[in-house]
Amino acid sequence: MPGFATFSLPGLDQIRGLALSVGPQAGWLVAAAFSSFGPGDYAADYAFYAWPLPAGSPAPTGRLSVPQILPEMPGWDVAGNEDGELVLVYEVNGGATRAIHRQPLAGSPPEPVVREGPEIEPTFVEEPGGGRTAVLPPEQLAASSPQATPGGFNRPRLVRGSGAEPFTAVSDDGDLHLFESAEPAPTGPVSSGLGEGWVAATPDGFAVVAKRPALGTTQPNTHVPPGELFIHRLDRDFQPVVPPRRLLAEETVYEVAVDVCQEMLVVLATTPRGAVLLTGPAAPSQRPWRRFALHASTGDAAGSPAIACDGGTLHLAFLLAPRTKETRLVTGELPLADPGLTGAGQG
Amino acid sequence: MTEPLVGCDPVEEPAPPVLVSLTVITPDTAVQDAEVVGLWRVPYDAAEDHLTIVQATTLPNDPETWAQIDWHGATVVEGSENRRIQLPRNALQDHEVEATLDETTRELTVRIVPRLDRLDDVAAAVATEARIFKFYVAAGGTATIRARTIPDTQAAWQQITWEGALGDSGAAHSKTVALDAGGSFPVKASLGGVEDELEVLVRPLPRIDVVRVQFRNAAAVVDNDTAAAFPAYAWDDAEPDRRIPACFVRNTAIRLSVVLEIGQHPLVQETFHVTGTADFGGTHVTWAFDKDIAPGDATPLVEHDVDADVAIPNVIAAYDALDVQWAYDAAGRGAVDGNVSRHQVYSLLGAPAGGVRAYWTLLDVSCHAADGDAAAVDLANHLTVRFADLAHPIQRKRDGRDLGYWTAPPGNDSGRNTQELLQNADGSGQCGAWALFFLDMLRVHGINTAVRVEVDHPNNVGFLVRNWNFSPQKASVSGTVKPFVDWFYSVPTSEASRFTHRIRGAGVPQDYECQTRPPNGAAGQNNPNPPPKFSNHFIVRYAGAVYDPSYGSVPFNDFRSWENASIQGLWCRRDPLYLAGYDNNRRTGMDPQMLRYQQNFPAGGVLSASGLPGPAGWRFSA
Repeated sequence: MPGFATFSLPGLDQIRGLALSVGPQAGWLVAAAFSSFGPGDYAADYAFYAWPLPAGSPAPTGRLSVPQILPEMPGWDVAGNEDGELVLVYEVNGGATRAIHRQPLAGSPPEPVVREGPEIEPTFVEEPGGGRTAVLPPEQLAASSPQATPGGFNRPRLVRGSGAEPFTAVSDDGDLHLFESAEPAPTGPVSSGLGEGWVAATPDGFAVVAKRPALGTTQPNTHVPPGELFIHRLDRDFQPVVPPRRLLAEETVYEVAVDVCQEMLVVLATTPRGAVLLTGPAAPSQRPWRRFALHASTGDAAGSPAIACDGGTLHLAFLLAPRTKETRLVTGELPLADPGLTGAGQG
Repeated sequence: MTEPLVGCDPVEEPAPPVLVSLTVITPDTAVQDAEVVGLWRVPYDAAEDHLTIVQATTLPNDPETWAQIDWHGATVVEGSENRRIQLPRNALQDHEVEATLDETTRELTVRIVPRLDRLDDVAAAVATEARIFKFYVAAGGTATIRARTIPDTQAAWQQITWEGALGDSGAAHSKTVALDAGGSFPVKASLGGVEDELEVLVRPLPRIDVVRVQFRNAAAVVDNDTAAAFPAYAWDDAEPDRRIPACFVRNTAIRLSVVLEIGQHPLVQETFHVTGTADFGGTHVTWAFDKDIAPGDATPLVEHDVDADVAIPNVIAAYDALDVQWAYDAAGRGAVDGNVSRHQVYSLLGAPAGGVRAYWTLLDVSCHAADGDAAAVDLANHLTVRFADLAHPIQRKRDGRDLGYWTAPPGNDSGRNTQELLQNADGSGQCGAWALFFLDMLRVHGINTAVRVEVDHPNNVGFLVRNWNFSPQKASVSGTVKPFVDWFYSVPTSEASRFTHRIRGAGVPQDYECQTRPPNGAAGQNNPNPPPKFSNHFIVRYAGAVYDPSYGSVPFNDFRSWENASIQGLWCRRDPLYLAGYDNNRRTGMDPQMLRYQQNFPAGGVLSASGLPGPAGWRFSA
């Protein structure tokens, strides 16, 4: 696996992405963190921060800060839309339920949506592997009023392969719902009882990579609950085409990222043994899935997988030891034409 | 051919006859003693016409010579031409025989001796296999081995040679083998050249052990609070002290399966009467069954579907340390105590409602809180009492972790439903989790009529949980005194100016009138100071009462009562400020309800007049 680099990002909580070739921001990865303002402040005690990072560098091009009234890292996701913008979806937790906001990050001038107060300042440390020190610029990225959805939904995920318009979220009772971009309400559950799901639009419908809740304790530090990974093939009306299929059999899965790369579906998952890359057909097929372990176990948990393809290259990233002082960002890229990746020539 | 010589040769004197030997020729079992010259042993024979014959051999050995034999101490056999004499064998005695021929005399002694007939079958053996006589160990007990001799007389018995680890029976014809300990004890007797042997095999008493118990009619499979599943069995001798929780509907006769390990096979097929007894809060419950076990039976054995003789008590209960004493009685030898299987049993009000998982913590908290209850309303009330006991946080049963309301460190997730609450590493849950946790405690007892209710305000306004300090009204820096306004229910979004206060924060100028909050607000579950303001909140409605599990407050008769007791005021955000107002402490007069209540959010109907409908749509079944 060529082209991997590691950056130290102490204090970084999560990364998401990826959005590629998205115009002036040139961001392909967004890092995020959560901060508390401390005692004595009874307004917005907390804030969610996001920084777009350009490809190949941990130096952010800006920052979004979203006040939160409750001490919980909101669910969020980012992808690039067809207009070359980074689009962010994120939760604002009201207590019982959460609003989900969908918000383009590009545009000017940025509107101040963040209040004054102590800010988190992650240190971007230069690494021999190619990282460089950077200072976060103070400007904001938010450009327009966010669209908000009502209701008890969480863990929003932009649908991959769709131009970052629709997104999905999980209802409190575990159903996965699809939200069209123009509608504040969901069109309906796309799957029931599957827990968290990642949806990729394929030429014939949708591929839903779903993480079903599994027995076991949460991942250390990230506190992500364990699950089992399945892929569901749906037509355009969300009807199942073939029975669901287990991916990574016998393995616990924590977090997942999905993208569609031409005729290939790529999945980057974090497991107790590290990050795992899966490639398989975008359309229902009997072709086997291929599995690649991306790093040997170092004793550090892997989290926040992110993956996207751009042209002929597959970009991926994940964190090691997330939410610790030892957090490191691992990025890498692979040629999509790599026969080892596609399984070309195999039956 | 040679011609005889013709002449006159001298005539030689004939040699005197010689008695060469005396030999016992009948019976063929006569034995000449190897050490004592002239001693012959002849087996005893009770028949008078069964004689022993002594025959002489002479030189020359011909009738003429035999006729010269002078016999003493015997009767010449008729027709033997004085060569043989006969002796009786029907008495144990020595016959001294003497014969003289010319100048030679021969003597012998014919000793009529007893012989061993056999060793009797050993009496009272539990089982016999060929010449192996099998006994169970019996402290102080003996097996007696009786020798039969020919003749079967005292004189004969005293000549028996015994071999083996034998004890004295008190009779010359018998020996004993002690049955105090197990082992193989060979016994050998010999007499008169005849041997017999047998084996006494002493085995421990048969023993069986209950090594595994499986409940057959549990109300539900108990979930280990989302951690690794419990074993499929209810108890296993491999972990004898481990109590695996199980739940049953009250008044159920518990059915179970029992796995038996044969520790010591019986010597013959025997019927084992197996019993298990337990005390369910004063109700004595017994499981009993008979099991035939043969010497060659494979082990372990399984006895399926053993029903208790009586039902468990007809109340909710938690039997944390339920011990079942197993015992068996094999072939009527008396009851023998065996293993004690250890259990933790919860007795439910009713069968769990469909869809609810019987998490261990749900069972433990609810059954302890409602111990002895037999009515749904009592269960709900006692659950409320437990939730209200904030000084003793509810603990996750699997690891003893205190469960709390928004107790995770900032940034960490707090659970949103029962599963996430029980899975959460911090033991932290949001109000939705606590509401569902309470609902699931009812549902696990079969109560499916409680509903989760979402509380919010329809105009994008949040609410302040009680114990805020609203400062007195005074002029702001602009000199304007904002009147206190008793606004309620629907706050127009354009009327933000009617919020009378600003929430103190890092970005709020300190010379502006603002409000603060006391160090501690209304305490929640394991949290003396939960988040002070929300946009929405989940509570529970059941049987007309309103419950707030997150805070453990007492049940309220209606939503307005809950609101007045729990909500201090409203807040809204007007960037970059947070405004507050509608101090519930200052509201007077009609004291109306401010907030909106939606039942079964998001899928249920709306309780208030102006709510949003739940999302309509279709479902896809995976």
